[in-house]
Amino acid sequence: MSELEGDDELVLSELLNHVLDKGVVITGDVTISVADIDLLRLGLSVILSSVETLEGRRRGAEPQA
Amino acid sequence: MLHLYCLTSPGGERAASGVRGLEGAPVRVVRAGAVEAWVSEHETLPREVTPDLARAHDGVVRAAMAWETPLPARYGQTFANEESLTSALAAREGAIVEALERVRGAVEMTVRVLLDEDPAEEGAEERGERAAPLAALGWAGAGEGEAASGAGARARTGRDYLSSVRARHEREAALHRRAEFLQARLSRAVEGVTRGESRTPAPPSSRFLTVSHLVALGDVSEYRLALRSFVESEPRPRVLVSGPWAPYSFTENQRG
Repeated sequence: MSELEGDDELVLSELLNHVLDKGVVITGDVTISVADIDLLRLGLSVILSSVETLEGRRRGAEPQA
Repeated sequence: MLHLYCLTSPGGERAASGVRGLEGAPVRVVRAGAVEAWVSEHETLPREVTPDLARAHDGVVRAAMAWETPLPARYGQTFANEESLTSALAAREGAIVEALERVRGAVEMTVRVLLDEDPAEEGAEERGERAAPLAALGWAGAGEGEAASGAGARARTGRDYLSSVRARHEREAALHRRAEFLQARLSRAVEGVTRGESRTPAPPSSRFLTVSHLVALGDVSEYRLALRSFVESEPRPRVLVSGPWAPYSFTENQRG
């Protein structure tokens, strides 16, 4: 299990996924644009690369047979 | 215009005093019956969200959370004036009060689990799908999946095309089965220390299962211990945990 402390990209990714994709909607005017960037996919790609990096670190730290 | 951050019970005026929101604007509360809205006033706001704006929004939500668990608002909701805000809130007052009661004294923890069903095959397709937006950002290696992507689009025969479609459906079905299996295991592991669970919808090709839990503030340590039993079970899932958050995933009716 990895927690996100200290990993700025992951923390930002999690923040954006919460703030932009969730939360109560009361209507009003919703004006939001994200400069043609698919934030959900960006977030998942950042997390994916981090998971793989963490896996690599974990394997590297394991004693070699 | 008023930018909306979150909703709380009445009485948060003192807690909101001194809090700064988007672009440093002072935050104040607007009362609407049995609900208070945390807002800041702006002449205009940038149309494009930036990391700083998102952080500022969440910062105000967290300031409210230090007082009582709020219902966080999705970023980007603005109201022309107090009247339009209060009339919108009045129309949903009962549901908002119920939702506030449901999340009271709790925080959200989010768990992402990698669905590593045949990761090498999935990875080739996913990199291809992401090539355009990542290339637009100037990310190194953004186009590396191009050679492997679009197998169906570049199929030389109709049989190749149908074969690639079938293979994709089989991969997606395998991911779905894996997600269902892991969610059930995760739910069992944290049963008894959560007050609610919410699974984030994802496209069929997603390699992630994302589940948020509503956890009483006093149970967060116990929740982490329960989660460890899931993480250390065999075969070991690959997991990322974030939180505590305000209950962004629990603002509507959720099954507990």
